[in-house]
Amino acid sequence: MAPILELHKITKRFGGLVAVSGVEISLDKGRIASIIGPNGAGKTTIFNSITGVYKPEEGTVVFDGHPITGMRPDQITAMGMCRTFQNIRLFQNMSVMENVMVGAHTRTTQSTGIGAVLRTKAFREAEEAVRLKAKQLLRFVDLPLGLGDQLARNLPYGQQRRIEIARALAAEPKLILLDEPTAGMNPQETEAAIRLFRRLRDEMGITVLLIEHDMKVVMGISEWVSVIDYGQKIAEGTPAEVRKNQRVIEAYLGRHATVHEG
Amino acid sequence: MSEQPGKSSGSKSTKRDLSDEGLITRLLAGPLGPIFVIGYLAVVTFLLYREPRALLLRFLLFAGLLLIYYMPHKAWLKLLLAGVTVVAIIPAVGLKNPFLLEIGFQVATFATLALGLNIVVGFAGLLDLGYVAFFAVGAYLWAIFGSQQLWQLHSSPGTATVYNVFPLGAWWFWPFLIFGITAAAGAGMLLGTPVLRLRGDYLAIVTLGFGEVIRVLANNLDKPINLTNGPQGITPIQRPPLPDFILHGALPNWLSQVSGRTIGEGDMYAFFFYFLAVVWLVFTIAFAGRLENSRLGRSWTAIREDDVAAVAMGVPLRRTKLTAFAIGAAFSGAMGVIYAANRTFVSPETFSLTQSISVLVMVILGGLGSIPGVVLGAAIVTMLNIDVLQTLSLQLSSLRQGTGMIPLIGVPWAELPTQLDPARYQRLVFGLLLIIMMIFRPEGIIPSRRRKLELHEDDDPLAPPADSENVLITSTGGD
Amino acid sequence: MTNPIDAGGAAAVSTMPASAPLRVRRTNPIKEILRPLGQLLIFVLGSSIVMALITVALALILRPTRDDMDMLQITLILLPQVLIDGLVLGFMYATIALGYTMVYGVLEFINFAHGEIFMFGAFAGVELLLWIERTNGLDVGNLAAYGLIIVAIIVGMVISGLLAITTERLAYRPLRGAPRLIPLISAIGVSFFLQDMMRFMQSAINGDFYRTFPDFGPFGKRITLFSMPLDDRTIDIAIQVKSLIIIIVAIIMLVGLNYLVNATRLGKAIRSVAQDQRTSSLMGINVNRIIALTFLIGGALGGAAGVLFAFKFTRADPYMGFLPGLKAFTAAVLGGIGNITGAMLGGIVLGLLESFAAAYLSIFTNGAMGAEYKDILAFAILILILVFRPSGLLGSKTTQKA
Repeated sequence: MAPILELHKITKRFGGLVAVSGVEISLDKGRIASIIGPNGAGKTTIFNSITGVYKPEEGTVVFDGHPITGMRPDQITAMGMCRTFQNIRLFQNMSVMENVMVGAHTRTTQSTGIGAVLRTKAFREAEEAVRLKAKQLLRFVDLPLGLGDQLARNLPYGQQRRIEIARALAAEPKLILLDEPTAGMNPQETEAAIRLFRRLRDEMGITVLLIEHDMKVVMGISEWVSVIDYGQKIAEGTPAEVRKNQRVIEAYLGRHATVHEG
Repeated sequence: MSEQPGKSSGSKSTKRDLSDEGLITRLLAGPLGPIFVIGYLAVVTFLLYREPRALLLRFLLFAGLLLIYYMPHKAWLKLLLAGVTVVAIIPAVGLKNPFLLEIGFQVATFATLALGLNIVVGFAGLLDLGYVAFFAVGAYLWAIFGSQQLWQLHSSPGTATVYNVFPLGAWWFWPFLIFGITAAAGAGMLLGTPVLRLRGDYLAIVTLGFGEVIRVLANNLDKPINLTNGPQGITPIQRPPLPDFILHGALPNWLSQVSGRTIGEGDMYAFFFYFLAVVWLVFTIAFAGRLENSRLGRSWTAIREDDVAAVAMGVPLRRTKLTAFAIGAAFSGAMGVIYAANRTFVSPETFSLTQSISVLVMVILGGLGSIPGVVLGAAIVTMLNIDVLQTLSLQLSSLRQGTGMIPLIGVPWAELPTQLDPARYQRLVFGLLLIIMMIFRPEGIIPSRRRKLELHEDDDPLAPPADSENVLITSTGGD
Repeated sequence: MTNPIDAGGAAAVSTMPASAPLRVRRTNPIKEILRPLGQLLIFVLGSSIVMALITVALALILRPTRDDMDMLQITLILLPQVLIDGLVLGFMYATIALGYTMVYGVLEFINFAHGEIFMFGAFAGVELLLWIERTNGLDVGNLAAYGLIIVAIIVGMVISGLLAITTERLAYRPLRGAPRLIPLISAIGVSFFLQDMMRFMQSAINGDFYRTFPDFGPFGKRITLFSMPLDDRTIDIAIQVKSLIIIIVAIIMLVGLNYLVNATRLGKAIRSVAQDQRTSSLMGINVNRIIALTFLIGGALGGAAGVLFAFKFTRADPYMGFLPGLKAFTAAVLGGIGNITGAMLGGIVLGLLESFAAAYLSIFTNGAMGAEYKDILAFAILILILVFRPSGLLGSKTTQKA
């Protein structure tokens, strides 16, 4: 099966600082994979380079067989890739429903400007369809009923995270990139999140790529792990392999650390 | 609409929960409300008919429209009352005092401009300080083609002969409404393309510069070819032709009888342009409102909230902003054509920075992003400009001619320098308004719900209780 | 993050070999005076030469388009005077631009009302001189006349500085946390308010809304710099004493400000607040006071420029601040906003451009575009800069992390 995402020798520089260098990643369709590494290793930079927020100085990104390096983020989203953010970036002063409906922007082409003004049948049907889909997605991520009209910023952190995922799902992606989706969650929330991610793949057929810090999540759900340190990939493999890799241990714990299995 | 626990669903028949509405709305609730409003309008109209020049009464009449807005009743009732006021009462009083029609025309014109700017600033969040340029584009377009300017392209200002005929027939006014829209929209996209990548305050300064550029061009494009006739402006500009029975025949005669004064062609045109401006305003309100509740409207709000996230969700940043610019400009363009035809004269002075800022004041005073707010703001500022300040000026004039003394200072009114004329101090008033609004009520008089919450983040007490966290309850009932 | 106030390099550097005691090199005050002088000299010479070359080249290219005059000859004849006028204008714009750039460096805020601060300073100086004139005080010898001008400038600086602090306190400080557009709109309000406020004051005081700078002293005299023989005539290249004074005063201001920002403790505090407000306050700097002082200094500079402006153009009116303010802002952006050296460069370049445009536009375009277009020249430049090189000539390219 052809990989859904390929990164070839991605290098990103900021002025004199090399944030990411020569990263190669290949992600198969239908996988749940993770990118891990210490803080500041360059993981979010990689995400940003994939989704078009940054243009990498060197290297190419290929999505579903199409080269997408240098394309704008909105174009990439239209092609079927969507993401969430490390610091939740919901539209704070829009309602929950509106947030998710914006996510569906690339899929609601029937809801045009002219149609809006004339209130044509096509427009009204399209709006209804979007609304319905938003409700379904909110239910899919287990958001309690009745919160649709609440402003996003009034909701607790855990719910906001889920709304952000629902918003990304509204774009009907084939691949979803989740940037530290369980940051700040307690163990129960993390469990629920893990179940959600699995359902993304099992029920919706979406390939999932996570950036994660929580080892429980990484080990629990990932089928494939890439480890980044100082902007370079230092290890790759199944969770069990990676966990025993000396370089990985050093990256997290320091040069002369060892980990006792227990 | 999703269900809220505790509120009944179904929209038509339930009693509205008014506990979080304003004071005026609560006072007007119930069956007494409309009766009061109708009575109020009747009284004000009667008084105004008897005393057409009274500033206070004019003010009260427009305030009546505000009362209608705040009434918590069915939409059809409110529309009916508002319609009667606008279509019947104001023209009727206008019969006695055409100044009222002029106020109405200007309010409608500037309300349209303000709505256009509201799309750019309020919806999309782009501070355009040169907005009047689009108005100028529309106005000058008809000015050039609807006058004799086309024959005067090679004569310098003031030297041309005035003929009795025009290069284009007056009925071209109507197609030029469309051209005005297109030209202004084009100018909007032209301005927008290089400028939209700039950050907020730079965008503001650059658009201000653009507005100035348009004004200087209007002032100076009288050589090598005389396109705009320079500072003298272009005149006469044609008005669209109206059927004879309206201009000279049965209708004005009847109106003359009813009102007791001679109603001539000028008056009939005043009525015509009033209605035309009002129609265009209503159209703009509907247009803007519908856009707000569409995918486009949501995109604008999204990019205003967080453009990085919006783009990540697939909203094309450049194109969306450009659309806002173009649509905002388009409204002005059409209004410019109407304005030029009504005045039969345009000059660069009308399109100054003060004008752009006054439209901005309308939007901010009324409520950024709020359609009713913006219309209210336009009404207030226009009345301030052409009515209140003028009236004060006239009163000061008559005081000057008298022998009274200024209280507290003990200097006779007559010695007050003539330069001290309230009509010229618009900038003072605008400046103060802007500062005060920004410090005390940046969301405007009638805020859009969103803005109010945006700007008063710390005092928002809302948050659902913590146990709605309980994630695993799935729905059982109908949706 | 945009440029903090970039002083142009005179930071203290400490060297730390492994075991030597800590040594901190002090900033050398003489160097801090000579450096900006040197920079100014380079800017002036550089831009003058570049502008002159471009203009002469244009004249050569466009020479055949006019047969009623020899374009090249006219160009050369006008050139020295155009250069001098341009430099005078440029120094004035530079002084105003410093006010914008300082406030922007510290607050990332464009003080839209800076042009009106400039205008108030102008009126303050003019009113003072007019008052002295009424008591026959202006009938003095040359030395005293110079002294009077200095006094007028100082008065202008004081008034403008105080006005700047007041507007900051009343109209900007309450809005400090708000989204960026809110204080900008407030600044627009302040600008409009001040314009009409001055108009009101002037109308009440003197019945008209503008004032004329009194004529006194040896300022109108022209000092001949050199003479050019041309065909059978000699052209004298002269500079008015007035213009010379303006240039000198402006240079003093610019050098003084550079010294203040680079070689004093206050300057260091300003620079640190410009870089990072929160950390500065953690280091014990009273951020509010520093901001107020920045407004004071920027306003004072604007006020001085105002008096100089009224001096040169002999007229003060309530709306005189709008165009120069906008042009000075363009100059600040041209040089790199937040960057003091940049403001100086930008001002000089803009002044020269405007002077050249005023003189040559009409000639080069055969009358199609006259000197009236010089005002929108600044806007055109602003748009071009912001589109193609928003960091300005001397600003550093900022990269953004999302």
